[in-house]
Amino acid sequence: MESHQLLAVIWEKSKLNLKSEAAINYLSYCWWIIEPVIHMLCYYLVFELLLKSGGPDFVYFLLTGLVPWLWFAKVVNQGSMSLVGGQHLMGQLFIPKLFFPLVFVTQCSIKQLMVFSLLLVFLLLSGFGISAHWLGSLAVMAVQLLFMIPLVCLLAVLVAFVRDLNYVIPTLLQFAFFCSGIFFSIETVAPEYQELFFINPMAGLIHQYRETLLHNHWPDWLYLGKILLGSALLWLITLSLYRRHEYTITRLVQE
Amino acid sequence: MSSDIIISVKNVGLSYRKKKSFFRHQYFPALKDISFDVRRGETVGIIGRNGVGKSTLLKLLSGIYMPDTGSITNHARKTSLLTLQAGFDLNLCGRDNAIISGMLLGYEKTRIYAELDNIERYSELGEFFYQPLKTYSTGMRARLGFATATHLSPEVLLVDEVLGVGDEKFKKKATATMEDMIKSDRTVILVSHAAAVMAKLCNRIIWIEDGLVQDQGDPTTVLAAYQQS
Repeated sequence: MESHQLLAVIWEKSKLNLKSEAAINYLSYCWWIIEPVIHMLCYYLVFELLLKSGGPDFVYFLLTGLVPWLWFAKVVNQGSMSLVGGQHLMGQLFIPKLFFPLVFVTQCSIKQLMVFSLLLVFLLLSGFGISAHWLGSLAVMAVQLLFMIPLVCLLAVLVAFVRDLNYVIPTLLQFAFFCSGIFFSIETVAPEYQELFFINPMAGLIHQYRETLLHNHWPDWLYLGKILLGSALLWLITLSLYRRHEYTITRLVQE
Repeated sequence: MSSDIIISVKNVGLSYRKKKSFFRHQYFPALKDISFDVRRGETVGIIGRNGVGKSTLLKLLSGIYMPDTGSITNHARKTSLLTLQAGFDLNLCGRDNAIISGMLLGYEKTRIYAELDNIERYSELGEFFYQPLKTYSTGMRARLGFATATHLSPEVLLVDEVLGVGDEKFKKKATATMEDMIKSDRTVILVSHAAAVMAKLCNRIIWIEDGLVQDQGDPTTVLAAYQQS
């Protein structure tokens, strides 16, 4: 299969998966919005009302962290099981194995565009003036996507090799959630540990989202460049794994 | 029929692996040393007892698996298993399923769109073509699967026991379509237990036993030897 054909089938399958998902619920496509809103309400209730941990602008701080995080968590959670989940189809026809994780990334990202637009509308209504710096957040989003693609493709193939990892990933995600500064500012962390925090790309990216959306700053291009470089390296490793194991994967997931 | 070789299988072997204990696996050879050629336009039948590796061989020929040993040279532009209902999603309508199934099989969207009317007509689903698959009966799903698979068929078609789907009327139509496809210039490799069908449709039979080619050649001779064994 040619790469343009692979991209076309990934796009089509992602669209149809979303259609299929919407078809089984009464509220259909509304869930794209309702689900993240419910999620955010829970965090808001816990951190703002119960723990009283937030400051005056806590709700905006929380939202700009949660919206990118939920995208990341969903892609990683679902995408890492995608090769194992695709075993039936793999046994029926030949399809490049990257298809499976990339469909999840695409379908979650289509939803994310919607949720992110809503976040912008919410910020506008809350009195945050629209600024050119918001364009910077789109760059941050693009970098997040380019970081997630190799990560989730790599995780999917690792899970295909060692199924046990499937139990570890949710725990690691939980750990990453606490280390990404979603409900606390990394500036409150002791200075000697701050750099350590930013080794976690999600912590850095969330910080960049806030800089662009809440503080009218341009993103730290150098930091974004470093993440892109790291992602490119990760992509090379991932791609070589898929090339080498294109056929092994089919038999592995069927064992 | 031209006599040029389209697929060449040389000393192919494949073993399945089963987990035995921590980090230890047990290997089961499905195919040990298989060699044969398929000429363009030929219909080749593969026979052998259950579990002898016939379906594994088709998976190797379609590129789903790679052999552990030996090699397969395939000159066809497209070779695929006649897979009914590949990638079907119960929540989507017949039309959407036909499109995605065709795309997964590697066809361009424009080619699939050009066939959609024919698929709709052939499957005899009427208005159901636009309804979700979960409202279909088993027979209706099979009809859609068969219509999609046969209207988008490759240069080399691999068939694994799919003759006869749906109700009696559709079964006749499906069998006739299969027979037409097999009799045409298309190269077909057919796996079936139905000796009469194999004798009628195939130019040559390959008999596989214990992971090796036991015999191959003229259908009547090979089938007779197989049935006596």
